[in-house]
Amino acid sequence: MQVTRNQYDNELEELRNMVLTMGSEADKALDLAMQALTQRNVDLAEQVIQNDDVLDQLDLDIESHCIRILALQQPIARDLRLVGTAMKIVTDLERIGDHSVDIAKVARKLAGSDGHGPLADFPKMASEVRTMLHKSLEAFVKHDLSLVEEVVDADDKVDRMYRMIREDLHRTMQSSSSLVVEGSYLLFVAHYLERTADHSVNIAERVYFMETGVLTQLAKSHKANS
Amino acid sequence: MLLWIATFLLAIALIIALMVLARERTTHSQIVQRLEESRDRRKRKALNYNLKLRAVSETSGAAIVMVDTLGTVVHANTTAEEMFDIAEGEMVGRPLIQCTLSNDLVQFALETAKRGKKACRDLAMPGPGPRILRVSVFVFEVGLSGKKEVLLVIVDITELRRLETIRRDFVANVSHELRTPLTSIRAMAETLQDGAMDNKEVADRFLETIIRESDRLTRISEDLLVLADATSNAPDKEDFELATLINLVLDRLRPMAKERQVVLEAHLLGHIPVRANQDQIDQVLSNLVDNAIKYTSPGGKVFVEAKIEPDTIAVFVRDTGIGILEEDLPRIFERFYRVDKARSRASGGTGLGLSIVKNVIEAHGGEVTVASEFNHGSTFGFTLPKVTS
Ligand SMILES: Nc1ncnc2c1ncn2[C@@H]1O[C@H](COP(=O)(O)OP(=O)(O)O)[C@@H](O)[C@H]1O
Ligand SMILES: [Mg+2]
Repeated sequence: MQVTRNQYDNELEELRNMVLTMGSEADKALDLAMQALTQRNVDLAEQVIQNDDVLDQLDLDIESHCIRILALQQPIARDLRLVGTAMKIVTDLERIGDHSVDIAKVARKLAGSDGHGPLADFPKMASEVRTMLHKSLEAFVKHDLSLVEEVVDADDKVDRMYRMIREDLHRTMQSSSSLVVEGSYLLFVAHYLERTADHSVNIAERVYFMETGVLTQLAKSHKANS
Repeated sequence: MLLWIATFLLAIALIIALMVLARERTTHSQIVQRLEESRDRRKRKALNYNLKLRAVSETSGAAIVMVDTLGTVVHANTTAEEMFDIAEGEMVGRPLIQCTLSNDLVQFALETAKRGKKACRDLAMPGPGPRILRVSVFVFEVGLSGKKEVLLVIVDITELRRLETIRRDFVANVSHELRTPLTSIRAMAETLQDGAMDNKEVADRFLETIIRESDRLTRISEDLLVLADATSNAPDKEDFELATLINLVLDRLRPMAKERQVVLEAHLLGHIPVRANQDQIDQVLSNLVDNAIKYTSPGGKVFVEAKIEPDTIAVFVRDTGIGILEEDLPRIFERFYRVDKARSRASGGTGLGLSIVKNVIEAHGGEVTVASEFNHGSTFGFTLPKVTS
C-alpha cells in the first residue's frame, strides 16, 4: 500500500514536471521566434520551426501520462483536478507553440525583404505576453492565486497594445504602399501574440480551477478555445 | 590447617579475580569514553565543515544549487532562492524544473551529470525581461557509494551583457561619427583633383567644407578624450571660485550669443568656493551655455544662476529656446544622441556635450537635472558638493 501510494505521488509529481518542461519549451519557442523577427534571422526562425516536434512530442507524452494515471490510479478530488488541468494546459501550450512557429514563418519571409517597417512595439508586447505565460506557470507550481489575478489584469494591457499596434500598422500601410506587404504580415504577428496572451489566461483559469474547484471565466473575452 | 591454607588461597584468587575484573572494567569504560570523545570530535569537525560549507555557499555571491541525478534539489543557498523567487527553504526536495521553470537549465544540468564532466553555459531564462544566467555545472561522487551529485553555480550576467552591448554600440557609433566627415573630406578632395580646382568658386567652397569637416573631426576627438578622462579617472580636484569661472565662460561665449541675438545674463552670488577639477567644470559650463545659446532662437534669453543650498552648490542654465519633447528627455544624455541631427551638426555639435556633463558631474559626486517644455525653453542644472572647511 505504502509503495503504491508513493508511486502514485511520484507520478503526479512527474506530471507537474512534464507540464513545466513543456511550458519552458513553449516560452523558448516564442522568445526565439520574436528574436528571429526583430533580428531578421532566418537560422533562428528555422530552429523554432524544427523544434516544434519537441512540443508535439511532449504534448503526446503528457496526455498518455495523464491517461495512465486516470486508468491505473483513479485519482479523486484535488488530484483528479490536477490531471484534468494538466490535460487542458497542455493543449494551450501546444497552441502557443504553433503560434510561435507562425511567427517564425513570418520572420523567415520578412528576412528576405529589405523593407524596414516599424517594429518598435512588438518587443514590448512580446515581453508582456511572455510575462503572462511565465506567471501562469508560476501560479501552477506555487499554487499562488494572486499570480492568476495578475495574468488576467495583464491581458487587458496586451489587448490595448494589440489595438495600438494594429492602428499603427494601418497608418503605415496607408502612408506607404511599399510597406503594405510587410505591414500585413506584421498584423498577423500581432494577432498571434494576442492569441498567446489569451492562451496564458486560459492556463491561469485552469490553475484557479485546480486550486479552488471553481470553474470560471476570469477574462471577459474568452476567445482562445479554437 | 589445610582448610586455612585453602581459604587463604581462595581469598587471594578472589582478590586477583576481582582486581582483573576491575581492570577490565576500567579499560572497557576507558575505551568507550575514548570512542565517545572521538565521535564528538568527528561530529564537531563535520559540523564545522558544514558550517564552513554553508558560509562559503552563503557569501559567494553566486547562486549555488545542488541536485541529485534525477534533478531534485538537495541544497540551495539564499542567493538561489532569491534568484528564482522561491520562499526560504522551499527549494530543497523539489524538482529543479519547479524551481527554475527552465527546461534548458534542467537539461544542461542532467546532461552534464551524465557525461560526468564540468561545463559552463549562458542560458536565457523565461519570464519578464531578458535574463541571462551563466551556469557552471560540476559533477562529483558523494561518499563511497558512487552516487553522483550535481553542483550548479549560477551568476546573473544580464547587466554584464547589457554593458557589453552599450560598449559595442559606442564603438560602432564612434566609427560612424568619424566616417561621415572623413567621407566628405575625401569626396571633396577627389573632386578638386578631378578638375574642380580650376573653378575658383567651387574650389573655395570645397576647401571651406574640408576645413569645416576637419575641425569637426578635431572636436569629436577632443570630446572623446574628455569623456574618456571623466569616465576612467577620479577627478583631480583643486579649490577655486565658481563665480569667477562662470564669468570667464560667459565672456568667452558672449560673442556667439551676440551673433545669434540671444541675451546672456547671469545671477551669481559673490563668493562660491568649490573643490573640483576646474578644467572639467569649465567644460561642463561651456557645454551647457553653448547648448542654451545654440538651441534658442534670435530674441531669446539665456540665464545662468549659481547658488549655495543647504547641502550643495547648485548651478542652473535656463533658456527660452526650442525646448525638448518629453520622449527625448531621457535620451539626450546618451553619447551621440541628438534630437535634430541636422541642426546639431550645422552648429558644430558632436552629440557628446551632455554626456560629458553627466559623467563629469557624477564623478564629482553631484547630480544633473533637466526640465523642459517643448517650444518654451529648458533648464539644465547641476550640483557640486559643498566645500567643508
Ligand atoms: N538647451 C537645450 N534646448 C534644447 N535642446 C537641447 C538643449 N541642450 C541639448 N539639447 C538637445 O540635446 C542634444 C544633445 O546635446 P549635446 O550632448 O550637447 O549634443 P550637441 O552636440 O548636439 O549639442 C542636442 O542635440 C539637442 O537636441
Ligand atoms: Mg552640445
